[in-house]
Amino acid sequence: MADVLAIKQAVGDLDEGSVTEKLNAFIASGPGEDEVQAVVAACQQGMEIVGEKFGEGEYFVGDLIFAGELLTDCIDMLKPLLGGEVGGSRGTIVLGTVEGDIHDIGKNIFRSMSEAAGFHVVDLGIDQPPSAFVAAVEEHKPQIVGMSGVLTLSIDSMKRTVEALQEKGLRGGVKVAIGGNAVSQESCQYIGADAWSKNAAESVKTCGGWV
Amino acid sequence: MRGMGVDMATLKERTQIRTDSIEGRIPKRVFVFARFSLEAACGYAGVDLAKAHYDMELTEKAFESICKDFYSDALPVGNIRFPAPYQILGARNWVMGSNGAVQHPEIVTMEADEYDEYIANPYDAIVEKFLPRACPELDTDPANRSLVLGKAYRSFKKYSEGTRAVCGKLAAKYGLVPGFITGELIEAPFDFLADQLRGFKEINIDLRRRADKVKAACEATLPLMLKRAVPPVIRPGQINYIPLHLAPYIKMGDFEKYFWPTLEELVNGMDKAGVACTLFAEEDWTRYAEYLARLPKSAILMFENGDCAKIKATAGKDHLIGGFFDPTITLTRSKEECIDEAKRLVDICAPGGNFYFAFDKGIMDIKSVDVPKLQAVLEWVSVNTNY
Amino acid sequence: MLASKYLLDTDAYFERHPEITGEAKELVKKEIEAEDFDMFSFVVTYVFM
Repeated sequence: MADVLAIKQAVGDLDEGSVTEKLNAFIASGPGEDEVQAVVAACQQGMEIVGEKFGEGEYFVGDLIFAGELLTDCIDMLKPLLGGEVGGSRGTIVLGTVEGDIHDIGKNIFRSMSEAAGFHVVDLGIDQPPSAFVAAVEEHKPQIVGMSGVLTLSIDSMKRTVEALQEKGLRGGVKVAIGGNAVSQESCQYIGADAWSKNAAESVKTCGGWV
Repeated sequence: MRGMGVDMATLKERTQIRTDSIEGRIPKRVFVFARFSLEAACGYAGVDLAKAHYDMELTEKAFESICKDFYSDALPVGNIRFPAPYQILGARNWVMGSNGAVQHPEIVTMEADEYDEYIANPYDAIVEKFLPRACPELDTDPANRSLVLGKAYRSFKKYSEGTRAVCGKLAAKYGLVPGFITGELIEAPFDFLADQLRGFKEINIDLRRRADKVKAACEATLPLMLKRAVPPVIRPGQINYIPLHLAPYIKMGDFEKYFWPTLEELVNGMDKAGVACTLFAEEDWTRYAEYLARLPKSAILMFENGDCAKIKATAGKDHLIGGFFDPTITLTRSKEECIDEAKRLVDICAPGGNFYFAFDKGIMDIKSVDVPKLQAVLEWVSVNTNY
Repeated sequence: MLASKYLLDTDAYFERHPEITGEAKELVKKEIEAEDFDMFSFVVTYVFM
């Protein structure tokens, strides 16, 4: 039996030693799939603690990056014990870094956190033009479109992507979330997105509220 | 109208304002240091960026359009990232995005188990191992490797000297003075380690898994940066440039132990050798402002975000500071509101001197600003900030 | 002092080239040190920053 609360807290504290120790002990105990899912959920909830601490100014982006790594390691440890994917049933997110921008770290953190939270993520990659987002929305019919950008040139690219979705009559069927260093309340309104954040964990929570 | 013959009185005034600002005296008015990249200039001038990267005449045409139409005391244009030398090297660490802007993708050239050899001899490790990883065209036999490096170096010289000539010509034509970036590009040892060797993601993991190695690597990097910072012949009035990257993303404890000590030593070392520097504090350095205040007075400070009042009261007491103005607000606010924002900044930071007006960062994309409103803001600062 | 086998050792260079003397030696010294610094700068700064 796993102490899910302790695992959740250790993940939230980014205490890698403690998390690894607990997970190893748990795996060695030969758990059933339900128990494994409970531990996955505990890791995910630990990410929410990380997001809160980031929002409160206790953690910084470097901690979010480490959190993403820690979460990936946890899921990699637990995946073999599960029949199929880790979650994937909460909804679909089409995600990408917008045209002209080649930064991907924030996008990748968001992806691993939202996959751990049960979303199926279609990651388009970096430097994606509006047409790529449109094509992916047409193909995968997501609930959410996530756009990432670090440079100020991404503001214009994000706006053009939203306009492209509008032109194809797709905008009404999705929620649009923007993230990365370039975003703000003002740019969110200018772009026509539904939510913005520089905190990946907060974005995942917002997406959870939408589905 | 600008450009119709150099107004010597204006040039003389600008030079005096710049000197007074650098030397800690109250100038006649606030010095205006606008910055536009080649990408932004091409967008404004309607010049094809992809071609301008390889063509000095097109670069000049793009740059000139900025000098002509945007008020600045300092030359508002410049470029150091030329795709040609990087392409000759097959560089993975500096690549062109789809829109032609040369950017630095996340890259790891040094693995976690290679810290010890880097610490033992950083330059040798770079030349032998990490450089060919960053630039795979160098990952070949010695003969080919020397030819590739030779070609890349020649290409770099061609474009940097060509750009310098264009900038000199435009500065003379429009009566513009240098800004506060006139010397060598260097980095805080921690940033040098983070940016191109370990990468943004890995360095943050290193801080948790092998912090002692990070510390030793920063210390090993310091002499490399110092050598870079102080050339055999120091140009008069040389001001090196240090863009500061990782500090805002790490916690205070890590900053104090790993980021700050070697940065402070670097700036002190330059100051002792008679070389000034401009530190560009990217993102928000409010919580570190008291550290910056400790640096020698020869350190000029540039800020992207942050609490300008707090920074003025600490780092801005004895140092020349500037920045904070986000030009992208021109997209969403009225002209009057944008000027009000500039005025707010000037009212907080200009009293007592030690302030120059600058954007939060160089403009990379002309579509990220509203041109007439931005022009109005710059004009306003140029005539409304007399002491 | 930064030690490296890839940075110019000026003394060693002139030991290898004893034929360069007097005023010529000063000119050559200035030249090779400047170029060595420039190449070092290119590698360390341009490529790695």
